[in-house]
Amino acid sequence: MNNYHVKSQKKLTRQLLKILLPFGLLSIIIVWIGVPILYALLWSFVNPEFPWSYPDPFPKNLSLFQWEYVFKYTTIVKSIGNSFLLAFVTTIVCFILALPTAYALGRRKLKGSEFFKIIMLLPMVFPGMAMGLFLGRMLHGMGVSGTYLGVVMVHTLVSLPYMLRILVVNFESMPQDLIDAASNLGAGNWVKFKEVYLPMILPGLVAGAMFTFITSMEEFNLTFIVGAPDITTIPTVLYSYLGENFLRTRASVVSLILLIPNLILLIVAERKIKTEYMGAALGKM
Amino acid sequence: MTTRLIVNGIDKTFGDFQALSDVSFTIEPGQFVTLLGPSGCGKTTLLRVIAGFLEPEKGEILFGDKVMNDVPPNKRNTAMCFQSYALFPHKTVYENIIFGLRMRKVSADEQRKRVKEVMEMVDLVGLENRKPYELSGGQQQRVALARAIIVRPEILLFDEPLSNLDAKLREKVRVDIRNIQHSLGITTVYVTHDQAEALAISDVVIAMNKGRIVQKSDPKTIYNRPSTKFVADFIGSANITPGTCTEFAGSTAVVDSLYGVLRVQAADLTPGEEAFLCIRPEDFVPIFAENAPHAVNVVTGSVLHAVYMGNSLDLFVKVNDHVVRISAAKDCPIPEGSQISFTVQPDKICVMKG
Amino acid sequence: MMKRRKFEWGYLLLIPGIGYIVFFVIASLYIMVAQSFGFYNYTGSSEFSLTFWQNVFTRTFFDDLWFSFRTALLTALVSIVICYPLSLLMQKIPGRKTFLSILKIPMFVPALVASFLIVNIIDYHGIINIVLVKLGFIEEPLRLRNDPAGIGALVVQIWKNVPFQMIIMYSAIEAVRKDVKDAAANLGANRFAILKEIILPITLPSALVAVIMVFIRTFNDFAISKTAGPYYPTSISNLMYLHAYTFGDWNTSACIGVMMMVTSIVFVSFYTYISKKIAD
Ligand SMILES: Nc1ncnc2c1ncn2[C@@H]1O[C@H](COP(=O)(O)OP(=O)(O)OP(=O)(O)O)[C@@H](O)[C@H]1O
Ligand SMILES: [Mg+2]
Repeated sequence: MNNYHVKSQKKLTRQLLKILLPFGLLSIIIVWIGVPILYALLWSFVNPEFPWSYPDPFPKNLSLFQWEYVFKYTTIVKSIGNSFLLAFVTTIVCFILALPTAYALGRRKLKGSEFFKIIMLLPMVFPGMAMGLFLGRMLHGMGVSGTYLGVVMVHTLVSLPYMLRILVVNFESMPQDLIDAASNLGAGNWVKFKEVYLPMILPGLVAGAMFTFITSMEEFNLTFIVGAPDITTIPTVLYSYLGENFLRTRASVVSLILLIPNLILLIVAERKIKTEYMGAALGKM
Repeated sequence: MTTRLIVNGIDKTFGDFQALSDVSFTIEPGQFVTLLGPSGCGKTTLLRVIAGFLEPEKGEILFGDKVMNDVPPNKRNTAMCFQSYALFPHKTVYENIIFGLRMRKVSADEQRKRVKEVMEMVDLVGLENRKPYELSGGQQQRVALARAIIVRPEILLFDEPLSNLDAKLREKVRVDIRNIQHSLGITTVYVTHDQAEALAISDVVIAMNKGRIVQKSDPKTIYNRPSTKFVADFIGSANITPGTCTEFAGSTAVVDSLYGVLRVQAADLTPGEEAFLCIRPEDFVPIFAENAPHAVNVVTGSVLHAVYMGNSLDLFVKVNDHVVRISAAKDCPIPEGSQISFTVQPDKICVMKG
Repeated sequence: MMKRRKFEWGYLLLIPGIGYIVFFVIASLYIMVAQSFGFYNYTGSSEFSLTFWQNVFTRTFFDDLWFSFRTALLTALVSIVICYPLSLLMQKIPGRKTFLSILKIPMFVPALVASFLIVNIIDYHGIINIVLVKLGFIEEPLRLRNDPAGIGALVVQIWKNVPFQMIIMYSAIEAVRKDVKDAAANLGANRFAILKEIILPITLPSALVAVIMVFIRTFNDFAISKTAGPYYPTSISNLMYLHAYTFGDWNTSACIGVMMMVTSIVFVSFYTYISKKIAD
């Protein structure tokens, strides 16, 4: 009887823990992520005439002034457009460049393919600022500095490893049996590509596109140098608000505006890409 | 110390799929029991419930008189040889095998002694320092087997431990398993798809179907006296025919079957009752002119195929539009297409009610 | 008769992907190394010179290098110390998919936005200081942003990199096969033994990669330490930028770049070597 009692108590504790743990975790996560965002939201509504300063826990007066200002008098809308355009074009270019190479590395048993798989990760480890400065001067010499072409070129360079890596993993994991079976059933090369390869690389393509898109949207060092002065993107605009002419309320508005497209991307990514896929692709690097 | 294993009214469902329904049986201390049944019938699930990886919705597992339901797997003192091997991918063969001993804090000397013994038994000597991915399928399976056996637990659970070995090695290892199990008196549950293996090494065979236990008997009984059509069909090959009892006197019944009217030795059948008859191929004896007059239960038909099996010649004979399988002596001179008569003793016919 | 080996056309397929990367990386590397030795100048004379190398190792250089290195190492280690137990914990709890999605948010927040969001919180009149003062732990708000110790930058980096490591570690731990864990339990291993004997060693390579990747990302950082880090020392990337654009001294900037790469390579090799040693 006593024994039974102890057991049921243990079970109860475990069940309690099972309920409490998620709630505890959830509150930590909300504080960890929610508070910074909410705080920025609060700041963005501060009325510049009544500054919010030290001992006040909350702003005295709220207004939409900064929101209006940012949309009316700054180039932010154009920068958002630039960021999306660049990310979109970069993703397509990456895919076109990566597809044949990933196929060769993933499916053909080439000598030295392990070596090439390491080489392709170089842009991820090469210091961005160093690449920006020295490649930037070369691009300047080529006359593409400050143009969309130049920025797409460098964005492609830093995003390509992600696309390559994920597609290679994808090609490697295709069962050879399936492809052989298709050949065996009389499929030609084109049919094989269309009916066998394409559907199978689709998940990899989606994950790869996601990563290149984000990498391009995020890229700062190279855009900052190669894009200057004409091509501004979300990160470079923000840098200017955080740098010399730092104005917290205005920076809050800009930060929040910049957050939105990425959060939308996250939601899309969540629905389309499995965490396991991302993890596998990242973890194997 | 040997342990009695009692499985009492176990139900296990996955979602709305019932994998085990009301499974109950007792295994006496030191017995070697084989679970036999078609793929997907719940054998692995049952082993997992016994080992404690799965919690049943209903029922109890007892080792001796201890209820084990709330005991976690690591405290159950069982050792399981997994169907999927489940080798530790980052450990060498040697480290894999001694894992259970290390967890039980067995002395280093004893560890070495037992490893040597068990490595020889499963023929793995020389592969100690390989990692699992450097082994063939059969070698991996032997590591899994060695890893379980070396522990000498209260209860051993084998999930098709020899399925990937060649016939020779399989026979040797299974004798070794049986010897160890016997000498240490470890209660053992053994899953196999190989019926010959099951009949050869078990004290008791349990036949399962669709998550239920259909029959639990010693090998002889389960082969000769299957309780249902399913068991008769699943274990060995069988000629099964429905029949109607027309007469019953003493212990002999007369049954009208697809193969004609047969005299059957049976405990209880009432005239008019319907049942199934099971006749093993080797119980049919071909008759030639010299032994014809004395025969009962004579059946006649034409030979469709004769298949040479090595130790016998199997004839597929067409009787009343039904095919009957007969195992004849391997040098029996019967060509395909010929007419043949054969007989079966009344006590060799098994009556099944379901 | 010997057959001539057929040319492998597969290598041609490597050109678009590998070729593109190799061309630009080699070009950057070449320009950088050449400039560090006085070649390839845009203005003035271009000739071999060691003066830049003789003058690069200043106090500022070492302070900045150490700052970047320390921030990177701390970020990587603190993140993995947070991520690993969290990933383990997350395996079991209900609703873990939702948690993971929420946790991923910082990964999708651009570095500069992340920096700004965190700076808001830890600033002189940020919520942390207000709470600490109200609770009476401190008299005066602390200076956490642009603080000389670089805590501000560290917090931002950790905030940004935890999700990144989470994704790697969570899926690595999830990928440990259930039957392997079952087998260990069956052979007598308790929870702790399963963790120590099975899960840890199997996921160690992933943890290794996670640490290296975060280290490199953080070590190469410019924007976060510029906005949230101290005014002195700054990041090594910033020093490079300063030399090139503010002082117009591209050659010294190139020397710094070369040193940065050398530090990365030495660290990664050393770290990998040590981890392999520990693993065995
Ligand atoms: N985790 C699970 N979730 C859902 N269904 C399961 C699960 N495990 C097993 N099943 C189902 O339960 C049934 C019994 O499975 P089990 O593995 O016990 O079969 P088995 O008798 O061992 O078969 P085999 O001889 O092929 O190994 C199967 O139909 C299987 O699909
Ligand atoms: Mg099974």
